[in-house]
Amino acid sequence: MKTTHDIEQRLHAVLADVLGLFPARIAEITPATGLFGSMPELDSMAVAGLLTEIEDQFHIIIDDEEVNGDMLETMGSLTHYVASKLAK
Amino acid sequence: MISTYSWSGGAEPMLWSGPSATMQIIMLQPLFEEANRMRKTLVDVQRGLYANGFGVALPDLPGTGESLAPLTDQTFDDWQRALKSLVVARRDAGQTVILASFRGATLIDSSVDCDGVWRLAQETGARLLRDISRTVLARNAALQGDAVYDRAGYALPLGFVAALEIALPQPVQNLRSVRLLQDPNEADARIAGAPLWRRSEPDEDPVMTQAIIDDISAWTTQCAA
Repeated sequence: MKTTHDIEQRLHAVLADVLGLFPARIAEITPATGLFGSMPELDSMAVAGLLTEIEDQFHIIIDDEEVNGDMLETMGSLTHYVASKLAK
Repeated sequence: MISTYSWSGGAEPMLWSGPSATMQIIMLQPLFEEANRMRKTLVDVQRGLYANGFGVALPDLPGTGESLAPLTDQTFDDWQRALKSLVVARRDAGQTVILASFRGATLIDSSVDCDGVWRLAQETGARLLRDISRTVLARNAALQGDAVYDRAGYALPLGFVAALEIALPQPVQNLRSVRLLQDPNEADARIAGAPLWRRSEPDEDPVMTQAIIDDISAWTTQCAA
């Protein structure tokens, strides 16, 4: 069973991989950090890559209906989403 | 150098270095946007392999890259026929031929006899399509539900989409399947690096590029022995 902390760390690595963020930027990310609409690197093309990479790394399937502004609002909301998928 | 190759549907562009080398590597590019994101890496890999003494072709499949043929006219079979003409021409000339397929190209590399296949991060057609449809969804969401429809810049005929939806990388003889360290799927070998094919802003990773060059070089030499 993955802890929230494990999931967060893994998501940080995925963000670094997909968005090309430097370690200093990753180190600044907290659960309150805004994602879609806040993080300039996370444009619509990048969202697609991010979700697909999350599916690969966590072995989950993300339904397109579940993808919305709330899920991608902050790092915390994305972590919560992935945790809830893993708990199923 | 910039060259062309012929197949039954016409002539298509390719970069080709070392045409007379006895060991020839045909590099097959990822599909759609991933090809653009990987362009720098692919050309760097080509140069590195050439520097190691191999002949290396980096062809544009019909309808992709610099090809003048419309993508809307292509089928999976066309791509496989084009690839076959590349391989057969070299084998008829007595050269050893290895295919190095990246991502979506692993869906088309099984249909022709060659001396070995090297694959990076093989992927299913369904997942490639999913990535494209997601891009459309995200863009439409950003436009706040405006009735804009595209396929992320790629006009794909329905027949092609249907074929891609069920396409899987097929088993081949003499296969070496390579993945990134963080990729949980099975592989023969792993290399460190980031999935540059996911970057919406094209990037490069010289360490990963060198690891790819080293691995393809070793595999080609082994297959030719």
